[in-house]
Amino acid sequence: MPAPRSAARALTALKRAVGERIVAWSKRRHGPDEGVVTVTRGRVYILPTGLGLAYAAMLFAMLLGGLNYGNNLALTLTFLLAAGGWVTMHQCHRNLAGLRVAPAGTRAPYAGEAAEFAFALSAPYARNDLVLRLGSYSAVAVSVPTGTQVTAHVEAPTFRRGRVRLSRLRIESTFPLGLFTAWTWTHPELDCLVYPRPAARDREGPPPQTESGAARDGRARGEEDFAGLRVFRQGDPPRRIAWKAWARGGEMLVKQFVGAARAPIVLDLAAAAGADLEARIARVARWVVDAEERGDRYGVRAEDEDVPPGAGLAHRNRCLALLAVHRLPGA
Amino acid sequence: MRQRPPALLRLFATCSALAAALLPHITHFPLWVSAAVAGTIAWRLVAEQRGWALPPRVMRLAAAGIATVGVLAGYRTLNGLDAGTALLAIMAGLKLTETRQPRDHAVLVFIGYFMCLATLLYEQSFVRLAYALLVVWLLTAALARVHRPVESNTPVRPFRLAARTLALGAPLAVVLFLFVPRIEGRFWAVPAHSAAHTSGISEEMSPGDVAELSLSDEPAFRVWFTGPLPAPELRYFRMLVLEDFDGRRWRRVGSFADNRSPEIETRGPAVDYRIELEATNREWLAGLDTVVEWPTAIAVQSRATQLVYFDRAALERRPVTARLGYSLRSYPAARLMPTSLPPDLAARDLKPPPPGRSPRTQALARELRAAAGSDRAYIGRVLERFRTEPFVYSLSPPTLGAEPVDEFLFGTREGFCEHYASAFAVLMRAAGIPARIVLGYQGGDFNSYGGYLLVRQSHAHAWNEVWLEGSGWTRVDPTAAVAPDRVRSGRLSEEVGGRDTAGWIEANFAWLRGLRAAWDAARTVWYDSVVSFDPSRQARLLKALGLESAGWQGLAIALAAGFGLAAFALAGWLGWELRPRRRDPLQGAWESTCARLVPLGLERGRGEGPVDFGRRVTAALPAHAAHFAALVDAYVQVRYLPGATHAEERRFLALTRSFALRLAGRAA
Repeated sequence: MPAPRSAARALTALKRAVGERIVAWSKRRHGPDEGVVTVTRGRVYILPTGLGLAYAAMLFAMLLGGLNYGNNLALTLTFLLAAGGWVTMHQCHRNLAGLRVAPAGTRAPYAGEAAEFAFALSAPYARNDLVLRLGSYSAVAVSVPTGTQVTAHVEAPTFRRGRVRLSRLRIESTFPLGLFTAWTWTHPELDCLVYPRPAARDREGPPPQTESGAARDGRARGEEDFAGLRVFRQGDPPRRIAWKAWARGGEMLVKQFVGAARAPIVLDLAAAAGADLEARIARVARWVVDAEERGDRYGVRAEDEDVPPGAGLAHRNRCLALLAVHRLPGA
Repeated sequence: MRQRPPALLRLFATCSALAAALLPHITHFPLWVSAAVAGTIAWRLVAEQRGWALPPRVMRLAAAGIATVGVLAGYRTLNGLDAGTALLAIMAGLKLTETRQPRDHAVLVFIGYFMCLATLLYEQSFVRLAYALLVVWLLTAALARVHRPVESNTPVRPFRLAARTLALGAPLAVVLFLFVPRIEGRFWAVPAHSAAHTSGISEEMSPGDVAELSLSDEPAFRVWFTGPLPAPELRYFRMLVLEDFDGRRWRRVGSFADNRSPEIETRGPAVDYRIELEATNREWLAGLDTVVEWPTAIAVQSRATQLVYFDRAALERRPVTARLGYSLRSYPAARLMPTSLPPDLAARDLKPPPPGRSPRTQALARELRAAAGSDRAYIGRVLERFRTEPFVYSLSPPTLGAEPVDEFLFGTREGFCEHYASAFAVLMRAAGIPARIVLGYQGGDFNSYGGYLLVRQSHAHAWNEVWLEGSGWTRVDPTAAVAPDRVRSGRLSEEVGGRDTAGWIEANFAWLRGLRAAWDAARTVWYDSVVSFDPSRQARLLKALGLESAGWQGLAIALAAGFGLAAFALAGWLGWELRPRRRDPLQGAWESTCARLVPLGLERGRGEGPVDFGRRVTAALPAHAAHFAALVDAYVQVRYLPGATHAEERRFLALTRSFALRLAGRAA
């Protein structure tokens, strides 16, 4: 049945267009949001939910029944439920008004994984069951107890390297009974880096162009010397974790090795083979990840940009960031 | 306590609230409905706990079909309160078999709300309303629990939340109650529900068949007298008259259309009073003997009622299905048909038992009448016989055989008012005196809290009227000859009413009687002010508010203004209650001190503790170093060390003030 389907599609498109208009209107109303946003009353919108409409219909039926039977107690019950519904409207609205939303950092993903935006929520009094939404992609529910600050992590999908921008966050709540939904839009204009997805490991292993190839050639894995333990950090390769020490109930520690040859290597985009720029960047990203895992000292060069050799997660991220925005417009 | 999975907790909350909503209906559900719903609830909870699969859609639809047919077969209809609630209960059970989503829970909660409403349609007592409100609270809490995306909700919190929501709504509900317009009559007819006839009075009387008379303490009606309370022996409230006797059973004759005005001779003082009659599901109204006139504007509440009466019985056009109030005037000393008895009535009231019935009684009547000489003397002889022969008043007399009157008079001699009235009427008719039986209530308990006479079902009574030349229909109560207490106190004496435990308890514990009277008075106030709040009372309220002339517009104004006011107050209260709390004074003093240092280029970093910040400040401001160090010391003392005293807090606050002054002095 093509006709109804196209009609449905048109309706969806219409709804989306109207929705965008409303959002644009609210953005014009409140202006762009920088830093901490306090959700003022004027920014809270509220409408009954489907359940709320069903509740109203139920109350109407009860009212008719009560009047028809001339039964004052039935009417009392109906009025009490109606008044309760009215009260939940206030409670729902107040659950958002006065909320403070502060951007609290981002976590860069590899392309194809979810980017994570963190928001710190706080309020002068407790908030219940707030749902943070990014478009139709993802939602996360949090409650904010009195006097605390709660960080909510919202995820956004990514498709390619570069940056993903969060230009609109919807915070909504159907507290307490689900009869009303109150919501607000903030426009934090946040960017999150998206690292290139590393290429698959190839069979022959990494052939990076090193400045001291001979030294590297002579280095075999067995020659690495155990140099000591350090505390586990996010991103350390699992095979380096000192599992035995951890199993004994200690801290999670990571074994560090000192290679025989610690000569820095430079991973050059020009040296990477690949069908196109993206494929070559992906290859270099793979080298970077592998080099960090091995504990090498490494740097990255991409045409006239480069990251001088170093090691560690922060260094790796710097290298990946360079690759993430390489030759992107506006980068 | 073991942590229960939230889904199970939610389901349990919804199921228990629903079960509480269904509980009052158990008395009128068929057994299979109650069993099916209870079984489904139990099964669903176990299924959730054990992770069983829910039944497929086809099975649910089939079950719905079978259940609908079952209800239809049981009630012959799906309409009406009884069938409707049964069907709804079954649908709730079926819904439960597919309940997973919040929406399913919401449907169950809504059904629960409807069940509460139906409970109140059955009975409008205060206790019912209290129970319904309790259940509404449970249901609302269940709804609150369902709509929580954050799983970490506590078991108690939804209950608090629901209680708060409903409590905050109460003032709004009161405004709605007072000003939402009530209607006269109904939008559509509703089939009367199958409540049994609740009155102690029926249109037939067959004394020989009753082995035990149950005395209910339920109120029959309440009477407010404008003047003084009539003497106990005058408190005869008649309801209807039985005239046709077939040897065993007395029946009412005559039709409602027979509304000839009887000849009445008004004598003696008038008694004005108002009666609030409980629902009887019968047409009969009660009135004190002798009702002379039904006022043209009878205050029959909100009902276009036509009262018809003949031979001093009154009736409503429709069965009285809800409490009914009306005002009357009676003349206890009036004479009814004093000069002549219409021939058709005379034929009716002289009709002896069918040929061959009660032979011994008839023979006795003829013998006594011949010996007495006059009708009045004969009546006196008969009553004397009841008094002197070993007649016993009993609420559990033996049943009687084929000739109940003969057997009673010459055999068992044990019975209650119906036995005596029946035998007396037969004796009268056999002697050529027109006689009949009057059914009604006699006596009543005066409630000093409410200032009314409470007449209970246990006051139901049967007595006689005989027609005598010159005085017309005259009341004779043969029971009084046997059990004078029955008439004098309006209550059975201990000996004869020994089985009436409630009566015995009341007779022996005066305080209990007082308590019961207070309870009944409270119940009466409840009915007066809440249950029977109708368009006329609403109009009176508007009049008191000065909006009487505005009609329905006045109601609209009052409703809008009242609701607006209440809603405004609610918003204000919520705003005030949820205002940002006043800050901790110590924290405030510390923060303002820090703020004073900002212009000097000394901003406390995020996460910089007071000690570190203090070191930085004393290094930067050598002139204030000692003072600030003391201030930081005091702050650490009151803030972080245990057992800070008020004196130390005051010292810290003083230091912050003097420091502010020093800084200000430096600026100047």
